[in-house]
Amino acid sequence: MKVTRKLIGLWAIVLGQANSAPPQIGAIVNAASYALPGQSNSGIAQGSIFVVFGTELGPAELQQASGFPLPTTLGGTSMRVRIDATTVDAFMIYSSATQAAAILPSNTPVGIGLLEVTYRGRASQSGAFRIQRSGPGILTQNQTGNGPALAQNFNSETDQPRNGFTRAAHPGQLITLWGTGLGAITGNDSVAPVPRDLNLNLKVLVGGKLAAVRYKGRSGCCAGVDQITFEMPRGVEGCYVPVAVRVDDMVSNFATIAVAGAGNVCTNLEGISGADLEKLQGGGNISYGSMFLYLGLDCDYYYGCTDPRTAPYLESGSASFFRYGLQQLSFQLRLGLPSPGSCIIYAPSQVPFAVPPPSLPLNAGPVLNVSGPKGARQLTLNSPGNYFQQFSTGATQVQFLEPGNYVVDNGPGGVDVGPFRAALSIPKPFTATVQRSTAGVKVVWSGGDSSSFVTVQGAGVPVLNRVSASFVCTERVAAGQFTIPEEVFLSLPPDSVDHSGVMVSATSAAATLFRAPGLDIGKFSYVSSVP
Amino acid sequence: MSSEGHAATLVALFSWAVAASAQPTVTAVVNGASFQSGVPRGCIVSIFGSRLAQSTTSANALPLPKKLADTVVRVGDLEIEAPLYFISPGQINAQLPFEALGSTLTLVVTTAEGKSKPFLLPVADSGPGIFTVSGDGKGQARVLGADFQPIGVAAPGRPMILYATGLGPTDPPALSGTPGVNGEPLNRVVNPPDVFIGESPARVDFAGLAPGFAGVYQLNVVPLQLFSDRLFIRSQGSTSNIVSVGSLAAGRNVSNASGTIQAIYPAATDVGPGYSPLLLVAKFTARMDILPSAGPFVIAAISDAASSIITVDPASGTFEGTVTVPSVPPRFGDFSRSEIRPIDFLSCHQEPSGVVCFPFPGGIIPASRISPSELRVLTTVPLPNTPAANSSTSQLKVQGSFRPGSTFVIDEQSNSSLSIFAGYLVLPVPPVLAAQQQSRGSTTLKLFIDGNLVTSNDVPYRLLPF
Repeated sequence: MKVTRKLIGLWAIVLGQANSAPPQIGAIVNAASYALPGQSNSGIAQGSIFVVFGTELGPAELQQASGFPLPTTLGGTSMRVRIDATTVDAFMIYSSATQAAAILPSNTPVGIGLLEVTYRGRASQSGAFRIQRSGPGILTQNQTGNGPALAQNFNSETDQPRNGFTRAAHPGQLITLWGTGLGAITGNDSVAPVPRDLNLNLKVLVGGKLAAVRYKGRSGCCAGVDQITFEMPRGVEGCYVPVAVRVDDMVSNFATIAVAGAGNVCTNLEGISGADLEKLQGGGNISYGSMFLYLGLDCDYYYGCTDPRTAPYLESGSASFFRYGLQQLSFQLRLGLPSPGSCIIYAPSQVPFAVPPPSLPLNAGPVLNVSGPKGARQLTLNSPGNYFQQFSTGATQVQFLEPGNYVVDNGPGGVDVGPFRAALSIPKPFTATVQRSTAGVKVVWSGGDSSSFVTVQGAGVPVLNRVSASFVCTERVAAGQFTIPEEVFLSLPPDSVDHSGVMVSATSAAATLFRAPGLDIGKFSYVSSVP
Repeated sequence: MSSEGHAATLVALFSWAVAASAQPTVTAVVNGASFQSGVPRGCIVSIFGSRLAQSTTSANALPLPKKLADTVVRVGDLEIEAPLYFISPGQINAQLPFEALGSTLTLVVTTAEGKSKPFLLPVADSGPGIFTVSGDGKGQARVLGADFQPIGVAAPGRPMILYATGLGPTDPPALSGTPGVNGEPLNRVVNPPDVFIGESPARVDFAGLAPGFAGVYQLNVVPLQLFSDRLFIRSQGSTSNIVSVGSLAAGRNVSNASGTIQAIYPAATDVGPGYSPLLLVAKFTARMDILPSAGPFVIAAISDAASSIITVDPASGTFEGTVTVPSVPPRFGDFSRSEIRPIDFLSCHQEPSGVVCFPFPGGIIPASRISPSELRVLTTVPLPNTPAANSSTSQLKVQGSFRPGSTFVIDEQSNSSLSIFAGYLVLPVPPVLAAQQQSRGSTTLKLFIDGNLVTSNDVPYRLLPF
């Protein structure tokens, strides 16, 4: 590249750098969904609240707007959006050094906008973002855009508790969902909004079913904050019932709502009660025991196995008994699995992966006894809390784990876990096929434990290595098939939308829960990886 | 199938072939000054490929246009159009927009014939590149004096102006494609860089967008010491291309200066490693007569991987040398605590969006992968006596004395501990991976005595075929 002489003599200039650096923008996201740039729902809607992450955005200590009208400068921070020839000032909600939030005025034109953050007179380099008519985001209780939604069960005008594991909604009940990004209003965004139903092509998908929507518009309390009131569909139940809002082809983040058919306490897909989940969520611990029977093939591509059909079987049993916190148990159980017949999207997280702290082992006795159609075996304690036994290896026929009824017990029990007895039937082998067509992706299966469920999971193949997203769906084995809803594909990265770039797999485990003295929950299951 | 059917099939295939071949293809995106990878927002980039344009055209006005002829470059999922300096069928020079957020951006070139497949571009926080006279990122930097005239020779205390790109955001900010402003407040960089000239940090009086240029940064610097002609910039952990500052103002402390410098490793017969850190071991000799009036002077044997810098004080008859040698763990392949993240070139594979290679797990190159000749030559390199934590190289500090007024010699018999220096060149991932490709490159060794370039030697190297 050619650089020619400049006429101006810069030499005489003495550096006069200010003490602090100017603001720098890292990301611009919906204040409820936190959808990252590159995700299909990362656009910012007119009239919505957006959050800017970065550095030197505002004061070290967070400052919030104290009332209406919302200011355009707060704590020294202001945000200006330029789109083509139009410039608008955002209405500030809060400001801090690394995070600031504001309302994008409803009269901002749609298109690619350039945001400039100014703090104490120093402006950032502009950051680009997409401005659109709608871009719904559901507020969640953990304020990261995933997990339980910020929702209220409507009992009466004066009794609207926040939805939770022990305050579950009931089918048919009205639910108020909180979020931002439904779209523009006709009034002033900086003042207290007037609730008014917005004219939108809006759908609420709850537990895989469409809900009847009663209201969709601004909340009466808070500028830029939306409320959607809908009726909980019948036939939906669980502690993690997925909820998503769709406006035209824009789908929100997937959050969850707790729903119980009777009473106020939900039960999750694996039979764990909402009371236990709430205890865990509150920082408590539970004693959990897990017993696995495993049938697989000894076929490791690394060691040269190329044809699983000729590989010998591997049969084993293992068990673990520990006292876990929520984070540790999440490694054992997939606590957030959606309710049957529905899917949930896992968006990439900005939170780094954390290794859980060690768990406390429990003694359930010296051996576990397993009996089945082929006789009895024992699992021995090989490290604190862990039991294991290889039933067979290298055999070309199944030696022990044939279909049939199995019972596990721990005899007189151990010092921590008292005696228990659990029974399980190994069902006919579960086989699933994935059928792709222009209409979508359908998974069809046979076999498996008819009282259990199927997990269908997949991910948008990161063709462009951009922000990817994965999904998991569940359905009862008895249903025999599941069609992945369109909203799932609309939520995957744009390159995945044609379905062909989406990886899908389905598995099912037979499982039964059991209880024992000293044990909050026990689970006896059978897993097969034999195709 | 009927003959008509055959014909139709052939026509269809031919049409497809034509359509496919006319599509632009992007094979590499690099810093437009240094031609190195790792580009930050706002950087001028050179985009290489084929059919990137149907003609050769340059921008002739500011702000830079976002379309030249029929060529447009779109960046990120928001498809922000990049300002263009220059287009040609094989190369585009553009500015990576400041406004495109995200740690990895897609880059798509569109012409009248179609769109390229998205090229994945990891975005760095900083990636300085110095513009050079040759325009290829090598050789002599484009250096001007404070009067904007060619500088002639560089000397300590003599101000100079450099031009670079990839120094990141400025304060006040500038929109992509627009030039630096021509008066206060000038667009100063938010993160001031360090500039090294002649093996020493230089004083940086100004670093910001050059008035009248988009994406080009001007640096007003004053070298404080000049032991060699090397010039490079460090900004937020990234190092620019290493170039020459030009001729040095020679000292007047010695006469009859002579010497040799050569690489012990890699030798011409050595096939390079299948990984990114290339060991470079060099050896030199130096001989000079110290003049009776001599003051302190420096002998600098340098490479881009390591150096041996000796300060000689004739008045006291003493010298002090600082010799770069590999730290102990990297000698055994352990780079886990060093600044180098070794890449396994044998893991490289071509994907539509570019070459993908994997680092060695834990930053450790297995002993089985280190060539016997590399291990052998390392036994001849002295161990450091001043270890540097978390660095691939450490220092061997050597002090000694000589008889004032004598000839000062460094060779195998005299002051030999100063004569061998070694370090690691970090080889880049090749932009395109062809079957059985054998990458080659070279690095230069130079010997300066009292500011005089006594000798230099190019060291060719090659990688394992992969």
